[in-house]
Amino acid sequence: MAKRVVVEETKPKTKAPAAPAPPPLGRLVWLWVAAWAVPGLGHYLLRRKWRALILFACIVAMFGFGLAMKGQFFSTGTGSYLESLGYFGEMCVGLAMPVAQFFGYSGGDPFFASADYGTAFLVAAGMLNVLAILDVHDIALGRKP
Amino acid sequence: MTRFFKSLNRPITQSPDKKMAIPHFIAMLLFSFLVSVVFAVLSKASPRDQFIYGAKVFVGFVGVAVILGWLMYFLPR
Repeated sequence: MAKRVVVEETKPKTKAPAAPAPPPLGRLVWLWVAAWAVPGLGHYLLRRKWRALILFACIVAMFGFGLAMKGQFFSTGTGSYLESLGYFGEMCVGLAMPVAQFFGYSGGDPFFASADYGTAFLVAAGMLNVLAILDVHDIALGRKP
Repeated sequence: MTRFFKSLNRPITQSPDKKMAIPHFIAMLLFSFLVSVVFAVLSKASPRDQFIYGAKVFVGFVGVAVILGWLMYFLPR
């Protein structure tokens, strides 16, 4: 009895595009620091100029409104965990906080009517910058376009 | 032209030592707008998708705030 030979159709194999190589750790750290120091700078270094400009404008505007409304600058060492968290939240906005203190921002006026909103604006600016830093990380690793 | 720009200053009062006292609702609108823009830019890729998503987030922020405000209105003091 003749053997039946089955010839399987082989489809030409197309190779999946190779994942981009992750950048060196030094470059990643540099991007994180740049993105922290100046909102949008990390995106600018990754050549996302419009995204960098919009993030810079929004985060700095939010910080500026917080200063204008006499929001409070928190500090560590007060014994309050919430104040320490607020300090780290505000520090996440980058160099803007030390620059504001250098140019004489007194740290807020708790008796001013809009001061609570100002504090919220300051901390929210820091938190938005954290999102921007994470976005820079994802773009650098090729996870986002 | 001068009267137009002066009219923009009406809801925002500026005290002599340059503080910005704004009504609660304006502060909420400002906050929602800035956060919505950042969320939209970070979440979506194309400008059209960013605009639509940002508008949805903004409306969501303001809508939830208004709803919560009305819910709290009926709570006993």
